[in-house]
Amino acid sequence: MHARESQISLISIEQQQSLRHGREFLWGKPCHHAELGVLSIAHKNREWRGGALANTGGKGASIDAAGLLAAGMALAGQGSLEAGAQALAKLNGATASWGLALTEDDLHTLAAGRREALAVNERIEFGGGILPELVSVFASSPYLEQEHYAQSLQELQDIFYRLKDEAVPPVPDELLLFAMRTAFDGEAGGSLEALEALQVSDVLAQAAPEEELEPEPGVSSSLAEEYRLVDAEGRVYSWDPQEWHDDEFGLGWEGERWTDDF
Amino acid sequence: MTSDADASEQGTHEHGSTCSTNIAPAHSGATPEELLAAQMNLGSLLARRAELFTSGESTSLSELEAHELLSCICFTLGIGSLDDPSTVRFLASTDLREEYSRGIGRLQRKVDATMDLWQQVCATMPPIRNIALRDTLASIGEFKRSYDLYFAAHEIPCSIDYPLHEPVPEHLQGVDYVYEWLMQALVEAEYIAQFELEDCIAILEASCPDYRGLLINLYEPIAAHFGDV
Repeated sequence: MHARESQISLISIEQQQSLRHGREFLWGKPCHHAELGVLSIAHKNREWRGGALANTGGKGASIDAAGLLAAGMALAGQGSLEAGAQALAKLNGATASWGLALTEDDLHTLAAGRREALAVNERIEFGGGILPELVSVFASSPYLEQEHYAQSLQELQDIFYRLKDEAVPPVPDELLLFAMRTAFDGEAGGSLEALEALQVSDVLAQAAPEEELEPEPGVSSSLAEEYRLVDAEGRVYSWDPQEWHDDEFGLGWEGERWTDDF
Repeated sequence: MTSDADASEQGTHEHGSTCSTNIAPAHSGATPEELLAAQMNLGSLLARRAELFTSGESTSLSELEAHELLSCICFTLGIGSLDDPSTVRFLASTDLREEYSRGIGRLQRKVDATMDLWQQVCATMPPIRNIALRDTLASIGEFKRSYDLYFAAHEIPCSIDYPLHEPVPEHLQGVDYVYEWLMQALVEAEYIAQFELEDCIAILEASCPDYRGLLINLYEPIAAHFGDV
């Protein structure tokens, strides 16, 4: 009971139901606040980094702010291992054509790695995690091999959370994953070490659209594109519609004949 | 956790003991089941707010962002302390999404009331030149525009430098703080306004020649002169 007084950790609906029936579930070790799918119920004085909601009284039961954040993860969740496992099992089917698959042990290792990466980068995750998206984006990379697949995903996951944390302003997951994939296949040449060494700005630059052609003065880029031709030998011909405007007016017809011009 | 009438009567949003009108006494304690239900409810709301905050584009937030969101939720729900077992019971037994929507409505009405109050203060305050007062009132004038009701309701996006005679309690947050500040400013403005402007300026010049530029309270020297402090 002593352990229960200090912390109760829960990871699944079944366990929550069991708790209601008077049983308790403990990981058998103190859980990190940001641990995936864990609800921490604090009964002691506890101060969270943010401070504003830190417990102060220590009298009676209380909700720990960090525990709440973890609760959010679990709930939004299905942040549980089970949900992640289901998602990845589906992805295993999708990646089979690339000769890539994860085992159950891999999943647990990756889930643990995720928790650690979140903790190291001081992030809180809601939902099932980035791993399914990571697998989906990177599975077709020619540099991933089954032999090191799980390890590669683990490192990519670490890199993702690091870049996510460093990105200012925040970057959408999808864009960052796309940028990572482009950098991994391109500048990093399939080397995770090289990818790890890149700064977030370098990685994001990979996802930036190609520089647009300098539009001609007074012409929008789409117009410039429209009035541009490239011949079979690569020569570029462009026209400026502005130049087509003829502001030189001839004198009015004064009765001369057409043939007088010649 | 309190009714609108309660909130407007108190002139503040709910905090600490003022928020527990319909909640069991704190000393009764909360059971582990209640704690669990409270965490599930609040965690669920937090996850939803986080999703909206990131426009669904990110599965994770920095701890700081998450903490700010949680603070915003607690403020909107009128929760002053998560330590209180009565708070736990409230969180465990309430439809928090509905309560949160009601909280947003309450805050919106209070923002409107705050802006009305601001106009009243501006209209009442005699034209005594003091840079801090002028800048503070100008900053509060932008409050409605800069206040993020949905993701940072607990923050005060104003530069409030002018020192009041009776400072506003530090524990107040967001629109509550600004409302209370204006209430106190109005009291002081009404007091000053009952005297002739020239007299007030003469008193201020005598007590603090640089009353325009320094961060001083205008009410204090005037009230002291007339023996009201």
